[in-house]
Amino acid sequence: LRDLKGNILLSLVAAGLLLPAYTERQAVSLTPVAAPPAVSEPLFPVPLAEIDTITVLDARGCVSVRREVISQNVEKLGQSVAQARVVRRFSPPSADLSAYGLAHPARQVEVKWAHGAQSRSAAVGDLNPVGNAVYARIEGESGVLLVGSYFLTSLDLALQGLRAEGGKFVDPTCAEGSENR
Amino acid sequence: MAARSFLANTWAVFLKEVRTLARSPLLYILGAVFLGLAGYFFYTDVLYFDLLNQDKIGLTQGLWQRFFEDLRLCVLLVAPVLAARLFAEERRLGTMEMVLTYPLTEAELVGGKFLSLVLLFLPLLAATVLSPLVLAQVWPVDPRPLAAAYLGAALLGLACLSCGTFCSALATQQSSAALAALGVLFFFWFLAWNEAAAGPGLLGVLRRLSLFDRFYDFTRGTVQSRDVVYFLVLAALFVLFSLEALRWRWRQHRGAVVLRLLLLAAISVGIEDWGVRHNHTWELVREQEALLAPETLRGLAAVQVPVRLLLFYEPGRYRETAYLAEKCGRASSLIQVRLVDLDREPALARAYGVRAYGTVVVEAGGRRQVVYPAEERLLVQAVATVTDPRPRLVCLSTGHGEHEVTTERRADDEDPTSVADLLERLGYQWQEVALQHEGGVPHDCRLLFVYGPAHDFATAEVTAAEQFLAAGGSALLLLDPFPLPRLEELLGRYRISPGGEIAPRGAARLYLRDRQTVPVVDVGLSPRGAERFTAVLYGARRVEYAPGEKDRRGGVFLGYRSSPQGLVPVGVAVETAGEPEGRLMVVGDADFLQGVLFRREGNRVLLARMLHWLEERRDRDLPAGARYAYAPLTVGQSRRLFWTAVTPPLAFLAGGGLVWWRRRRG
Repeated sequence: LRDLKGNILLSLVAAGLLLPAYTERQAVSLTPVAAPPAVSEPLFPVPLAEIDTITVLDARGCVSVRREVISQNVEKLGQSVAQARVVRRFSPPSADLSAYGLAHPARQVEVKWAHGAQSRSAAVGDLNPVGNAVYARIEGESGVLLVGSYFLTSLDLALQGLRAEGGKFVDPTCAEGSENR
Repeated sequence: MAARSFLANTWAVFLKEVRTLARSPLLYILGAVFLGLAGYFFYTDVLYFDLLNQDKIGLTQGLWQRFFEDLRLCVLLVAPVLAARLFAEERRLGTMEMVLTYPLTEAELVGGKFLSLVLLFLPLLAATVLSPLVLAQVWPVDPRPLAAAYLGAALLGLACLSCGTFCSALATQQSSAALAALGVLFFFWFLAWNEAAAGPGLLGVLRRLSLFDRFYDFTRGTVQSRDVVYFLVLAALFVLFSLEALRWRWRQHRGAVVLRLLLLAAISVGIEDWGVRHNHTWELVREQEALLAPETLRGLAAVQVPVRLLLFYEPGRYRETAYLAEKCGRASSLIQVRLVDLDREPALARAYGVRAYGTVVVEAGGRRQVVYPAEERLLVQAVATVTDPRPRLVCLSTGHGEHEVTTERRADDEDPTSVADLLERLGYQWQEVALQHEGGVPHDCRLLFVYGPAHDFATAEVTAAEQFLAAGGSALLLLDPFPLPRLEELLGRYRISPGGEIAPRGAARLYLRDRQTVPVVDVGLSPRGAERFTAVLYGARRVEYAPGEKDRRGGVFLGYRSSPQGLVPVGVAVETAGEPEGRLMVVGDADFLQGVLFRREGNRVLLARMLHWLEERRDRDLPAGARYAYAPLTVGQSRRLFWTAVTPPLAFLAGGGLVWWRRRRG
């Protein structure tokens, strides 16, 4: 009986020590914010399969695609957006974001998912001086993000392809909406 | 009441065990082995450090890390053997059953015996501190990294003793207990050595269990609370296992005991994991001191106008860049340093044309240089260029068998590889000059460098050098022991007379080195007038100076300190009469900038300091470098260290002999 009591007590102590260790470890692996800086977070936190609409506004106009449309270039645009990773996040020294090309961003990307109930819009600015990342800003957030520069390349390639396919993806109304916003 | 009884009983067991161990020759033999090995390792490690000129890496990395990695072997060998006798000896003598009939609990028995071991082991470890204490009289010893390493050694000893106690509780023979403990400990030591054999997940677990990985940081002068927790948990776990091992024989419900052992292991894992999650680190060594070479510091210290440095750092390397900035800023009050986050301030980066992390922009008086990569040599050259656009030209005399200033070694070495390389790193340009053909010292030369001529100068060359000095030029003469009558006659006009070779004798000569190797001290150029070891010369000759009324300033700045002779002058510096005044420095050796001796940091610093004094027209000395050059050991010092290493084990053996003799008599 004494052994049993002792073992129960030890079990409780062991559980008390191991459970927080387990839960803390789980929490660390699930929350991207707590991950070390080397592990980057996605620019749009949604898997490719769940994206409904992608709208991109740049100097050449607005392109809007829906997931249902079967096209190689739509797939490319989806992959470009889904694979964009934030490599760094910082607060700018002043409210003037022109140094990052974000005062008048060259590109605006909006992604909608959950049947249009959720969306995220990102302004994409200039390349950083080193040329390995591009400045971006999420609408409604104050920080400036650095996204791997391959995002810009893949985005432009996909847009080029979509525009080459004809006018079916070009949406003149979204340009007005984005500019108003 | 129960607690008081527990303490009293534990204390009684502890006293009895200490008395038994103190009378046992085993303790003295093991103690002598431990101290003998520790002394041997210490002495040989000091000699290794001394002979390899490890000035740059410092004592922590160059000596303490090696010594404590050797000392852990002594701990791993001796501690389990010492602990193995605790219960196995009782069993061998047939007294175990009798001990278990005492009105004692197993916890009191194990606790008392284990404490007695700890009490005997810690003084053994403490006795090894004697050697660093004696070494502190030879070289400056920072006690902080040593304290960290000793803490690690004590914790490792605790873990080894507890492992030995556990094996002793299981075994019937002392030898088998010792062998089992050694096996377990070596297994824990080598657990993570073959990194290729495990995946990243498993490797992480192995590293957390590995004694080697947990001990390593202590030897580097870093204390991590997680490592302290690990060793304490390991020691406690083995002690608790020892307790269960004693109870095992008469237990009826062994399943419950196995479960208890598993639960104890789980609790240990939980505590260790808590230690990892709540880790605190104490860095007790400043290894980053080695970031900027003294030559660089001197190059930066020489600026006379305000300089602005903009360091565009890489986000992941902020600490290193900040440290570089701090060191640059400390080199001179005229240097203003600003750290710039390249990604956060792209406008500034674009304005300066910066396109790479780690670029440094150097600005002064409207002039600007962009340095990439931020190598120290390039940085100093850029500072020299923006602060003084005139070429800082050093003219090296040729045609008299002077030493070579260049080598074919790789140019991207971390340290300067030749005199020419060092000159460039200090921000100088250099050219070889044949004085006889040029008809004198070229007018754009700031400094004439005569680097170990084997043949004498012609009369015309001597006149050219004299005219150069009279016109306010500076000259550095490094003289090997060759007859150079005309040059010596010139020096005589400045009251400088080179003499014969210096030969250190007796205990003052250097250990394991040629008799011609001479350590010299800087007596005149150091800022506080403090005499300190500076450089090692080879085949140096005396250089005497007889001050006269005409000389504005002059004196001996470098000498060899010998107990019978006092300070033997080796280097003389004078300011020559004239307007503007010239400066002349003469050193009775040129070999100290050649081969192995050039690798000594102190030797290179000596050249840098001399060049600065010759070039600067300021009545102030340059600040000393942050790091200390370790003087080579003399025969006397090495003897002292040897006897420090040998005495403790001999004393222990003598103690053992005394015990044996008293037991025979009694």
